[in-house]
Amino acid sequence: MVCCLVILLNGYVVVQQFFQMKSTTLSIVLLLAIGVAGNAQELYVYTDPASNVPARSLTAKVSGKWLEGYHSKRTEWRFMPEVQVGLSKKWMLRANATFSDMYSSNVRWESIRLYTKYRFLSQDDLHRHFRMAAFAEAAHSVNPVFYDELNLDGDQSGLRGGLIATQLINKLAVSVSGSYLYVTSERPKYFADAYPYQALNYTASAGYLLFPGKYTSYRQTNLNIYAELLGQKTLDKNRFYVDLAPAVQLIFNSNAKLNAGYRFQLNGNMHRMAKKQWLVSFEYVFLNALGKKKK
Amino acid sequence: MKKILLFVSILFAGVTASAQFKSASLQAAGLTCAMCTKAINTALDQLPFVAEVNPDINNSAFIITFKEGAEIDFDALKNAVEDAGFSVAKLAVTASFNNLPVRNDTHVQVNGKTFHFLKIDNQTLNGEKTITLVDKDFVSAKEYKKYSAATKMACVQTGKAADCCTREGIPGNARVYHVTI
Repeated sequence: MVCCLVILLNGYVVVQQFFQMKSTTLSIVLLLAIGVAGNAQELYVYTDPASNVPARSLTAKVSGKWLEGYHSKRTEWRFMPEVQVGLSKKWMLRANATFSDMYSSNVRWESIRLYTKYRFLSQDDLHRHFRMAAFAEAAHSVNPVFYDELNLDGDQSGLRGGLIATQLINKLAVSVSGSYLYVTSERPKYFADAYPYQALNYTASAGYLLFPGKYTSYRQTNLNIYAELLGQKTLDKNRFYVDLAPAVQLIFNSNAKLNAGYRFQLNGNMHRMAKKQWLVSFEYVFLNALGKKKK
Repeated sequence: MKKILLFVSILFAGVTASAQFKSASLQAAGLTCAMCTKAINTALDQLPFVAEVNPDINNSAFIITFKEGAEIDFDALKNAVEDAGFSVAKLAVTASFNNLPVRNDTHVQVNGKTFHFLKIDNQTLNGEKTITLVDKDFVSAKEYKKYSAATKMACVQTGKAADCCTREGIPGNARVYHVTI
């Protein structure tokens, strides 16, 4: 358990941001991480674990994100279709596009993104593993930039690279990640210097299986709950946010996932499009879709 | 007497015995969820020599029934689990033997495959018996360390025939499965 805490609190920035949070919130996050003593899951809703998609398998996902725009004061949404492929047991690729009305009056295409992840360490034992992976992604977005918050979720163009470590001990799974993000989107003329371009992102996630208590078949519906801490600190400007994102997940027939999450800011000093947002996504796994079929 | 036994064992090492591999019990490591178990299940199910896979989702374990008379590839079973993103913790294979004498730390050929028995009492395998693979990546790192220390032969390090085996007439680099009972 001490080991989990060390992993959870890993990294100077994480620790620094933890201390900027209110003590009650800090307690909630720690309790969630410590208290999930049952079957933990690492099919996180907001982040990626170090584990990969099975080799030669394909996943298709659609996500919807809703928020109230800071400037528009109306409910805006983003639609994100995505495909993932397991190239080998260690290497996966993901491509997605985004469409939204966050920067326009009607929903329109706004960005594409490519993501790749390589699992370079895997130590498995019975109901236990430690894995590490490196990832990189690049996004192209046509949106203008009005906010301090940096991301490749459709809002901006840029590059990101980072590391993920996921530990499962006696059915408790904790995952942490750290990444460097560089945004290349052009800023408004004369104000370009007012915006950050580089950021350090960090996440800490924990998950818990509520149902079923005991597996009897692949057709049983699984209910998982998650708590994820998502933080950003810009490197060229002294701005940051720390969000908490609780989420629920239903898994049907062991190959379809329905996720719903609410992400809200715990602390921060950034000019953001929204400090809270809803996410709903549905993902289907096609196991061995690209493999040889048995006759 | 010892010399005679040694002579007999060497004689047997060169002789190919036959056995019918019927089923295997495989335990996977590194997972807890049903979705992960299903990924392994699907990968095992695709193997051409597998007739049926019955999962025990709670224990991440599978009973695999082989097709009768099919060529069984233990490495393919391991690769299927690894491709799904996990590892093999235990692979125990049940076969029907016909008076096959086996000796500790000795090679024996069965159905054209070379098996190297470790940490066993010398015995004759007859009828349905279960043997457990102890090669690297077929057991936990700790278990592998234990079994690899049970022989001085180099083949246990790679699972491939080394000098120790070629002296017995086993082709160089041929796959040698290290097993126990």
